[in-house]
Amino acid sequence: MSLAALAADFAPARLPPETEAFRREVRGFLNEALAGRAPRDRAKTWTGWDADFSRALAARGWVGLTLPERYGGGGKDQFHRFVLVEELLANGAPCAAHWIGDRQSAPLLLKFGSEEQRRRWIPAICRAETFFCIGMSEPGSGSDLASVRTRAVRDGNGWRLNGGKVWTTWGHRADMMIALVRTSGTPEDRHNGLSQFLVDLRAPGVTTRPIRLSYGESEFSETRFDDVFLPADSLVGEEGQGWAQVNAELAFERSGPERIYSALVLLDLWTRHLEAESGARAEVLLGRHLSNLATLRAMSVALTARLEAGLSPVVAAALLKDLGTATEQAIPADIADMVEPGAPDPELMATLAFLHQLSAVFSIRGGTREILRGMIARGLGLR
Amino acid sequence: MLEEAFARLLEAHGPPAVVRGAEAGEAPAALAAELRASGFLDLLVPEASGGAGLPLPELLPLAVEAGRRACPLPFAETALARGVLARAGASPPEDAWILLAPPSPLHPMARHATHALVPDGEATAFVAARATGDDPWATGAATGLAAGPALVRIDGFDLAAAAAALTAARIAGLIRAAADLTLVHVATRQQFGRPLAAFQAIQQAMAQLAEEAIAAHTAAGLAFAGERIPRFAAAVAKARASEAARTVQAIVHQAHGAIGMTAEYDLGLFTRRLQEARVAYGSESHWHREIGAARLADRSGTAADFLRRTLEMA
Ligand SMILES: Cc1cc2nc3c(=O)[nH]c(=O)nc-3n(C[C@H](O)[C@H](O)[C@H](O)COP(=O)(O)OP(=O)(O)OC[C@H]3O[C@@H](n4cnc5c(N)ncnc54)[C@H](O)[C@@H]3O)c2cc1C
Repeated sequence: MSLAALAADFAPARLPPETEAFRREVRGFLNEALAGRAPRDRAKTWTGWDADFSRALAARGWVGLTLPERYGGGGKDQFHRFVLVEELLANGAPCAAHWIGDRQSAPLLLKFGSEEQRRRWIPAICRAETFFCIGMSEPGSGSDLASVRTRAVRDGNGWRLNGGKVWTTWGHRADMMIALVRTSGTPEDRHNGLSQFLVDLRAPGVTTRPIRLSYGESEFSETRFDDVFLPADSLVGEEGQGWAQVNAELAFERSGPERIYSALVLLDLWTRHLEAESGARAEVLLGRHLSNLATLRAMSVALTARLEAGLSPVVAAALLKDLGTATEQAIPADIADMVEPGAPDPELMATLAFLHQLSAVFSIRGGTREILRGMIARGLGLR
Repeated sequence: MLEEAFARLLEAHGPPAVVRGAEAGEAPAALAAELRASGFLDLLVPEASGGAGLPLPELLPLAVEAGRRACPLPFAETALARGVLARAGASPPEDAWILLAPPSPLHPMARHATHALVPDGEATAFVAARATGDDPWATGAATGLAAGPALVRIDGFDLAAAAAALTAARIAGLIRAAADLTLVHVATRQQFGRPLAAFQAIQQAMAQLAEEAIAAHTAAGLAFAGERIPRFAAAVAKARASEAARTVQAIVHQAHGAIGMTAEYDLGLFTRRLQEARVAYGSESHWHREIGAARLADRSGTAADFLRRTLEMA
């Protein structure tokens, strides 16, 4: 790869016109479903858990929108999903319950799962009946994911699982985890000998514990596996191919609107709070974020077109995520600089405080800034 | 295709030696003649008027390429102006090099220009123009223009937006040139027994450089998506490209060390123009403010709605 090849992944694209009617439909639904929800709650967007909301969305066919209809999906293209996610995030819909299953687990099962696994799990994800989480990180394995130590060993027809996962987003509420674990070799074998398993979080031997964040919420958890029995059909894809399978989905995980709109609710709240004549400083700041967002959005649409064409622009997605999260983090930091003494609006302050605290994770979750930049450097042929 | 032929032309007839000559005051006559003969200048001129009749988006890659080669002549500006003038029924002289010159602290590429589009009340006038004042970055720019009387008047043309959009495209090209030089440099220059690219601090900076290069290019593209240049798309294009110019010029010089500052090395050809282009036709804050004020005047919907509405993005 080179800078030219990387740039080619961002060839301009447009959302097809037929997505407009879909956008209106989504907006109509959200206007009703989110009526009366306070900005501080809207600001949680894809970190906010609301199973009822997820089920209401699923009832309209909007969970698993791009999945094939024969598995209960919506059979729509990636552009429709872009529109759906853009509307969900811009309006501050609580998406966490179905988010992982919709974005990651179901597409993974579709690609690597057995026919039986697809039939069993994808329709349940699309109905928002079964909620999934991702078990990759461990206490000793964060950025260095290939060093995971949780291990599954063969036991009769199935497997026996021991070890533990950490930082699992909503692991304490989810039903199922797709875990990346070692099935052969040692952590020194790195990318070889890793496999992915479906783990029923209600199975004997599984314990989950929510982890409280410094700002009071508990969005992620720690999970322990003590001699957990995994039936034979728990293995996803091929034994030993876990690393390749995990990486196949990274372009989906990093190129979407959730890497640019995480602070949009705050930006809009602040915008509404401003006077029409707020002076040059506020105008410049608002204009800067809007100009960045416009550029990021165009980049995200471009990558959506690549995904729709069946490509997997992993390095380009890392690039967009790094750039996008920088803007997401700058929004609360800059608005904090603009709050004047006097009687600040309590809703603005609460929303600002929430996002300002949360924003540190934007460049940690889903691959840290440094790791993403390392991937880009490798893409540029520098390492 | 078009783009490759254009790149070959600039490579052959506008190499760094010609750029340096133009900076020193030598007219780039051979380059000018080749560009005129190539037909690229009439890219946007309707077929009925003898041009290629291509749509506006086709100009973008050429405008970027002209930036990438630090073209000393206002190629893209002239091509755009010729298209606009032709549609107004006018035909500028064959050897005119035309600036788009709304009010600006300086006009890049002014020294070898012969004409300009300038504001004329609410309209735009095509005039003969000559560089006056200073050339602070010594690139062949001018802080002033001596303009003759209006030769043609055109209505309904947003001169400021067009100048901003083309300058954004030029910045994208200049960034690309500076980035390409830098990526080669860090892969070849050795310190502590290793290429600079082996150091993680350098790798991280190069990743950021790639991010800014692509962001600038994407932003410029927003202004060239349709048949005309929308005001807000031009604002975003110039604002984001100017921001990128600021970051990029710091990264590329840091990664080069002392050699990057020398007159015989090419980096300065690009970074001096980047600094200048950032200042010309509205720096980032100028356009940020216009965008912000527009949003405050129209606060309906989400920011995403606003962007789709005002940028005419799908
Ligand atoms: C909100 C949130 C949700 C998450 N959800 C999930 C989830 O659902 N499932 C899951 O499996 N994980 C999840 N994670 C974990 C996340 O993937 C990890 O936090 C991340 O990969 C970084 O690992 P770490 O926290 O151990 O930090 P470390 O890897 O210890 O990194 C700490 C710092 O060192 C830097 N660093 C590390 N290695 C290098 C290197 N080689 N070069 C330069 N710098 C380096 C990092 O960039 C970072 O700045 C979540 C994290 C957060 C914050």
